Amino acid sequence: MLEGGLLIPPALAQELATRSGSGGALVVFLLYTLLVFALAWFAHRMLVNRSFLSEYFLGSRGLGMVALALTFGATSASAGSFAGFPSLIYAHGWVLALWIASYMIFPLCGMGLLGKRLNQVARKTNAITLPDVLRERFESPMLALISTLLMAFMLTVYLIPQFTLATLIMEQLLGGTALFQRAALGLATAAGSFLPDGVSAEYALGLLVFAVLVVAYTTFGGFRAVVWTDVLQGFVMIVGVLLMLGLALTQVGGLPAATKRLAQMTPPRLGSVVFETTTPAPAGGYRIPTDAWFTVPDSMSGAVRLFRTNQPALLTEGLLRSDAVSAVEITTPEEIDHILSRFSTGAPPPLPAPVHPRLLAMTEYTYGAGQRGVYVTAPGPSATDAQGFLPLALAVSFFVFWALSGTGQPGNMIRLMAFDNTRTLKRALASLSVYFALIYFPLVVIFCCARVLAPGLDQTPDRIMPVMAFLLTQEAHVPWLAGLLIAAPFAAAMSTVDSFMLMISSSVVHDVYQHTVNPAATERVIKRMSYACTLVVGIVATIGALYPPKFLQYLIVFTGGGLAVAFLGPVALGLYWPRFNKAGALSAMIGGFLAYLALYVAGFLLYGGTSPVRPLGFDPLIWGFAASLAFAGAGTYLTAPPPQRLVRTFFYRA
Amino acid sequence: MPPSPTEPVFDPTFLNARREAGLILCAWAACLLWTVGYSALAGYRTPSDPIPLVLGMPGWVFWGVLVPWLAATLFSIWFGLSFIADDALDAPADETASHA
Repeated sequence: MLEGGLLIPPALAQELATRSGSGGALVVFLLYTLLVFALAWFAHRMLVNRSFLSEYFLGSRGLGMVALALTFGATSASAGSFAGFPSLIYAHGWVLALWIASYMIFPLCGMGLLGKRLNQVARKTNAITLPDVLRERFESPMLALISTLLMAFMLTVYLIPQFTLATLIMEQLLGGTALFQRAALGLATAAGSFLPDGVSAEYALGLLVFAVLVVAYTTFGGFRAVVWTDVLQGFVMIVGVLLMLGLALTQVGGLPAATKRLAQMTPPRLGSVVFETTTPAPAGGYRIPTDAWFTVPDSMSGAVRLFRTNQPALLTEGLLRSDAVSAVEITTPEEIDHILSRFSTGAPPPLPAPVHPRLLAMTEYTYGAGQRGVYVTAPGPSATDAQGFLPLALAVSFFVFWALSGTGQPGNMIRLMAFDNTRTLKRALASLSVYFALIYFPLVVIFCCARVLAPGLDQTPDRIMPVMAFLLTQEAHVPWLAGLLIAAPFAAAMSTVDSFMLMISSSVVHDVYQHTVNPAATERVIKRMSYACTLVVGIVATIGALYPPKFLQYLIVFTGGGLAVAFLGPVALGLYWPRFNKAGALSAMIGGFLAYLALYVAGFLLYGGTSPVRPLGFDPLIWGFAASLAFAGAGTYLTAPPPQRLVRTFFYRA
Repeated sequence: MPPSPTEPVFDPTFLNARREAGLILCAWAACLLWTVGYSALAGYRTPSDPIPLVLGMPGWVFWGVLVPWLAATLFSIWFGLSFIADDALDAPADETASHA
């Protein structure tokens, strides 16, 4: 059988086909896109006859309960929630329930701690942005400017991995459709020489489609469009997760069966393999696809060793061997028997006749190798860390991390400035608690089942979400449903990106241009600046994502933590501590952020990688926040109290 | 003793929000102690020991994560619907509603 000019055995081609997108996925995606644009159009109409700034950047402070709950939830759930988190569950098992457990209290902290006071102060000062609030509360243009620059820079950096992850999801969603493949081929023909090294035409096309879509509706519709699409995306996410939960539990034979199988499992060996032939590959070559199973007899015992490729291997015409590709060796005897029994012949489909694998180094997990039960106990297996995935100090860190980090995100704070009254906040908080409980714990269950249903993807676990979507729907004979399941992570990425783009735009236009450069700017000028700025931010992020950064997840964690450390202390203390003054706020923001940054820089210098230094095992966010509080106290008590006039305005009855 | 007419009085919205924030921090600390505490005792164990299952999940996940998660969700619902005061936001001082 010929596919793309390369020889592929029929059974392997069939398996490959189940991993790719379908026509149904494309239809679902197009419907979703149409809905997003319809919402943006309605939102744009609302801009007429309203104060542009307040409407475009804050939806005229009119968010209702459903809008507030879902925009808060959807913005908090970034692409990481649906790509990075599932991959961690797949790789480390049930311990991820403890890793994410802080989300049980996150809605309460994220909305309840700051919501009412922040909204009140924002109304009192007519603040449209977070720097507005800080400027008025502390009478400090300097603090507003620093926070604007910090926010604009960090959010732009944060956008790049979000664009990248969304593009990867889009490739999975549309990659198998003929229309997408033809368009990618056209792009490669027309502009292939302009693409950076290592960037495929499929990736570039996916990025282009995503960027045009999200930049267009955000620029056109402003905050209200972002919120309305967040509501749509919020519904898509929860429907996707609950459907997947039902399908996964059904197909795995119930949760007890899945957990018992997990309890038997020992971590795989990870390594690489080359595929060789004794005679040069013929015209058309050979291609061993991603996720192909193959066996090798053990040289000592003769027993069967079972492997799965995690990358495609190519032997082009005239070659005797492929490049090394990553592979995973299943090590649990029961698991090997079970996987082999699923093939009709009791063995994986054969490789093309003259091709045979040659194993390169296969390495054991640093923690958990050969031990049953590691996937159902803490700290969970780890390929790299001798203490396991989640040592106890790190578990404490993450419980603090999610609550603090989520509460301190400017993207969440801006939503708390936009609801219409306290009753909205109350009901949204209650709703969001239920919403998060229905999203995050089921994700743990689904991707623990994934370890059983889709074994051997340990070298590329980031693919597990789309792989599971296609696998579950194929098995259930509803392949069209894959589009909806895949739309969930795509929606998560989109809802985070649109919010952050608008925040950067509002910071630059309102806080820098209007307050610093041209205070007399007319509404028409501001409007044009806002549209242009949102567009420019989108273009910058697109260009950044065209050169996809390494270590996406680390970039997300670093920027998310940095924003929380910089903003949570100054905002929370500014709302609740009358004595807190300008010097305290500046010290807290700068000191906390520098302490956080220092631990990452020290980690880079000491370890030469992306891991920060973690004194006593605690995450830099905790140390950064502690430093922020210490600097806040020192800065405040070492300087004069704030003017009584200011204290009366914000803390006393008028 | 009621404050004199010239003595400033704290904004009730600020006082209510501060009281609510205090309880939230207590709830967060309780969740931390329950979840991490129970998981430390029951979840960090020799992997080869038999793992009791509850509703199909490891017992320590059920008692250490799922049960506190459900409790926190119920608490959040109660907190949101009953405990948070119905304060007015756009009009300070006199128009502020009394505590719910």
